[in-house]
Amino acid sequence: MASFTERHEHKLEIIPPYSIIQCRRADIIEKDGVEVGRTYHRHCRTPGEDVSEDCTELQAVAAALWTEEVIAAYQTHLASQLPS
Amino acid sequence: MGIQINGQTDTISASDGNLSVSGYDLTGPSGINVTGVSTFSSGIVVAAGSTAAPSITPTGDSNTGIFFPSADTIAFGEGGVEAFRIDSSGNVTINNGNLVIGTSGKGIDFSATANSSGTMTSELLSDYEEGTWTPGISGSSGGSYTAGGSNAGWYRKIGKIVFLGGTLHWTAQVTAYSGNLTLTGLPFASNTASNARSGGGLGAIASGLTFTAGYSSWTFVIDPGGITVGYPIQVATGGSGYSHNPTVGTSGIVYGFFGSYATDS
Repeated sequence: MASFTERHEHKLEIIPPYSIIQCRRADIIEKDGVEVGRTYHRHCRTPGEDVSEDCTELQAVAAALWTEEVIAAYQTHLASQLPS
Repeated sequence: MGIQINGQTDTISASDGNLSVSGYDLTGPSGINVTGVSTFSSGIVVAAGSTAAPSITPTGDSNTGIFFPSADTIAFGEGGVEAFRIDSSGNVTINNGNLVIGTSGKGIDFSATANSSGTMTSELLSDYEEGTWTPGISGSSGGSYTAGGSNAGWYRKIGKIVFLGGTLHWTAQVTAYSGNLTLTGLPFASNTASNARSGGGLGAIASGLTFTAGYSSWTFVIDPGGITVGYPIQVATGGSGYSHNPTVGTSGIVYGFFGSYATDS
């Protein structure tokens, strides 16, 4: 009987200048170790956002890039972008 | 040092491990085996070959290689099946496989085509992707709602344009939204070009979103600036004027919203 397994791969993209992290999670289905299906799910994380439920890779990138200065700069940028 | 055959000299010669032939054909009932790199100063002519037996094949794989099915046509076969062809018009056909772009940022270059009257910035189509995302509602200054079972989003990214849609479903209010109402969770950050806004619309609102006084239609805006939210907006009766602050219920469902926006990459 065939054995089906599911695993995930995360692709992270860093968007300058505020180091927004775009995360693409690939949900990969394998039959007897051979990939038979794949779908993608995306989300973004912005500087200062809670990443505690994200993958460890994203948490590491956020910890490395999101300094207090970056977070403050992004908040200032956001405030300047809000529509009236 | 030369080798003489039939009284001719210098037609076949050997030196330093290389064999040179001029003026004569080399033929043999079992073909010619050469060890080492060979140089053919005047090209190579081979039979047309076929899908099952290409005319140029690697050692030990006689049904994989290059063949020439008709005039001015080149084809490549794998395992006795044609995989790829360039026909006499220059058209390329991939019979059973994908065209895989192996390097991020590379793609299909349309720079040979005519340009629009707008300000063109790129003619390289370098991305396609489809998948899902998780929409939600919040506010620019905070707010949280519990997603329901019908809450779902889809996206298609073609080049630097994202098309998205889905169903917005929430079943409880954790904290009421404050600031401007936002649709959260966009799959890509918006572009950063000044005023390069985009938008879309809301579909059938079954419950949860209602107008405040003076407003009577809905729209949906996605701002530039590298942000990851959109704005459901109520439009004033008469069409001029808008508000970011409709009334949001503790639960609700919007059957269908859609939008498109530009990204920077």
